[in-house]
Amino acid sequence: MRRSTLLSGLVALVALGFVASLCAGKIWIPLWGLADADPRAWIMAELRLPRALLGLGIGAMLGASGAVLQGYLRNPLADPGVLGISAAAALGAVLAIFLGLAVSPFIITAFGMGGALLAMLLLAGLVGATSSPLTFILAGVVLSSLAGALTALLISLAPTPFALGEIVTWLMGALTDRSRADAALALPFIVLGLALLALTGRALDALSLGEATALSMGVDLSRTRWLVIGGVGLGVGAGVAVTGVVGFVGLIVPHLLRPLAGAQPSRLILPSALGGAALLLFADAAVRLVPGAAELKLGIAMALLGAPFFLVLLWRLRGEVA
Amino acid sequence: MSALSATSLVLRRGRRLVLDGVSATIAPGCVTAILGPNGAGKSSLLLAMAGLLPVASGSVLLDGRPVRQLSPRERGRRIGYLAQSADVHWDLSVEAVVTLGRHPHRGAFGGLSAADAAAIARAMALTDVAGFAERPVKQLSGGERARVLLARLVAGEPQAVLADEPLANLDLAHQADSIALFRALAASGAAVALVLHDLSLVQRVADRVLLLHEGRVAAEGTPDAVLLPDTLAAVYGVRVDVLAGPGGERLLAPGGRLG
Repeated sequence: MRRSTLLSGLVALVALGFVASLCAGKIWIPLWGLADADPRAWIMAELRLPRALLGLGIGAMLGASGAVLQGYLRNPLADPGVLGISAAAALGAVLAIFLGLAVSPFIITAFGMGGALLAMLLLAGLVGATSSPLTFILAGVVLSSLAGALTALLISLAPTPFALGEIVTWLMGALTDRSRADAALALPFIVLGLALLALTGRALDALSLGEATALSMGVDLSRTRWLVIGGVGLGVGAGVAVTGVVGFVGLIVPHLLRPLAGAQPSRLILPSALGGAALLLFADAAVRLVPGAAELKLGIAMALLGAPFFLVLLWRLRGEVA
Repeated sequence: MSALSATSLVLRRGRRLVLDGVSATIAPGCVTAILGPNGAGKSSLLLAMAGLLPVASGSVLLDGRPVRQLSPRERGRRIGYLAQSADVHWDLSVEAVVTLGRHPHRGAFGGLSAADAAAIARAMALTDVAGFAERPVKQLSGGERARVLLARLVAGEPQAVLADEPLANLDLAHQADSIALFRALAASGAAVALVLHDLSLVQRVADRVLLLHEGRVAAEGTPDAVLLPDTLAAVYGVRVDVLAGPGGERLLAPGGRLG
């Protein structure tokens, strides 16, 4: 498929998903013809617009992160979660709720980003001595397990049933009732993260010939590592702080797009960002339409979709990924 | 014309001393063969001379300048390194792989210049891969892939070429082609170092031979001076007979293990 065709197709999908995210819900809202006094105009502007913007940004961030991590680690199963940054961001946010500081969304977000930042620094310290992808991925796994264990510890020590409920709800991951302030807080970091990741393309291409060869061609491996850590850490950290853990986007999207965009890592980053945004926007619109008193959580929906996908992928790649 | 020279290189990997005071010069216009048993330090020497491994002591100079002080891009433009492994991690097209060879010549953004395109086309023609430029590399045989990676190296137009077992996986005809290509690179002024195993081949194609043994230089000089039965027996622990070929050239026939 021609690249221009693919990109315009994806942009159209993102636009469609954005409109769907604005209009869909327990009440349908038309895009045009709302009077100022119409309460639906308020819902559109104050609830659905930030929600759609966050879906767009976080989806793009998760998709691009997946593409970049897979290229960097030369591992088709890599996903932002592998680095442990999502888990660490979640730990930070849970800590805020646990300490009863969740009076404003700003504090949860700040704690979430703090967790992600700490994870990035820890990871950088752990992998600073080496540029091996295996060490990098193992450091991420260790970090992820540690953050998960500490989160579980906080949940088991939750002071009040209220805090417990809040933590569990938040952990399930959703874009529901996110405010303009949330969007204003998270989106700049997401844009910055995407910009850092966009700078890695050439180096990722060279890395497909192995580290020694990439190094011999003048690729600055430590700069590349810092761009990946910084980009994924900032962007995904900010995103997780707002939505909780939404997994598998970074895994699914690059895989679906690789046959269309080509296997070259640099050519997969932009399509994956667009594809991730489209996937998250549509998924978030779809969960609102599932009948029932409470809305299906986005994180649960993505896990239900993503886990079988992961297994199928694992099955097809058996023998290839040692 | 750039000479690549190493002086008293000492390299450790973990607690193991891999290079123990190796001095060597890869002269421009020459093909230098690096020989030695497994574990003698051939690959490590190549990596160190390419400026890709930090050494504990000693120095590697390209035209009198330490290679570790060159910017990564300049080092990449001037020293070409061909790894032993022919792995390509993603299913790139042949042309995409060869294009990677222009990496150190290109800016951070933007397309290929006319010089880039010309170098890529020339490299693909020289290595006989132009016929399958669009094919994904994972569909190629090991030998075809090795030629594609050689084309990647050639496309970078390096002044010094360091290749780790570049003939492994190649059939006889393509071995001959690759040797001719390395000779041509040397003839155009490049300093060429090849890690090789086949003694008769080394006798035929190399101008200089560097024989490594347990991290040290066991012998250095022309093939006639280095490829002697006693020297080889001491290093490899194998009897090597020197025969005269039909044209009077020396043929080396490795035999059984000694002692």
